[in-house]
Amino acid sequence: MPKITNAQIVDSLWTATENGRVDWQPTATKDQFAASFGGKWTVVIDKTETADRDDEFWLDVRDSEGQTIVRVAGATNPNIPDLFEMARRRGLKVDESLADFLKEIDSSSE
Amino acid sequence: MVAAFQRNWRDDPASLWGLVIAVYVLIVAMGARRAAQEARSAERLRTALDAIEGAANKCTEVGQFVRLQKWDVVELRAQEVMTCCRATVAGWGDESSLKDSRNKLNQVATQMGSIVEQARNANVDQQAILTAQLKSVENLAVVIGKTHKNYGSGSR
Repeated sequence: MPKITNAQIVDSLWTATENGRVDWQPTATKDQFAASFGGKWTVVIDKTETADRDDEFWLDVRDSEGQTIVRVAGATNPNIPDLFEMARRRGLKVDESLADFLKEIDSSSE
Repeated sequence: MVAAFQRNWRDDPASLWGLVIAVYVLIVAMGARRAAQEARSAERLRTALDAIEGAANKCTEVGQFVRLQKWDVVELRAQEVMTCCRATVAGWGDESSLKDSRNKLNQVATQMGSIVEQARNANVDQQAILTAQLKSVENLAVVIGKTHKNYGSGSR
């Protein structure tokens, strides 16, 4: 079986999220979102602010027992911050809210 | 070969009846086996449904205890919901019709895990916990609805 790289995992998630096929949901931890796939795996993406006020990202792939099988650090993959932002927009339904917001502005200016 | 069978059955009709009865018994046995499997499957769903309904009640309680800031009870209840979800997913195996429900239960287990972590924190983000708890209640409600539907069609 060919070795699957972390970059492949991030790229697949990025494409699926971009196409609206991933149901990212917020967890109880600030700036953390999770999505489940295939009835077996859960992906968690997280942004933490370090003591130096830098943003630190990581992405976990966990099995159905909650064990982390892969962890990708944001520092090792430049697409993770973008993926986090897409997950955040999807998890907090940002685009739906903004669409309502724009509709409201348009209707009030008429 | 067919001619040999026909000659044999003409000479000995009892062997033909024997074959007919054997086929009939085989069909009845297969039907009984299928019915037993369906009954077992429906029973498994029924048990899972009871457990998930219990978990949904506990998940609602998590929200109530968050508002009361009873963090030790929040942690305990969230752990119970998480364990129930993990056990149900493990019990369901790889059945493809239950994939969406397994996804939702895994999602709830992850959210409950994060609530457990948050409840242990000194600086608890109450709003974030309530958002995750509400999402979990929604996820569990969908799973309950789907399981009811599957149980209804499986037990018929």
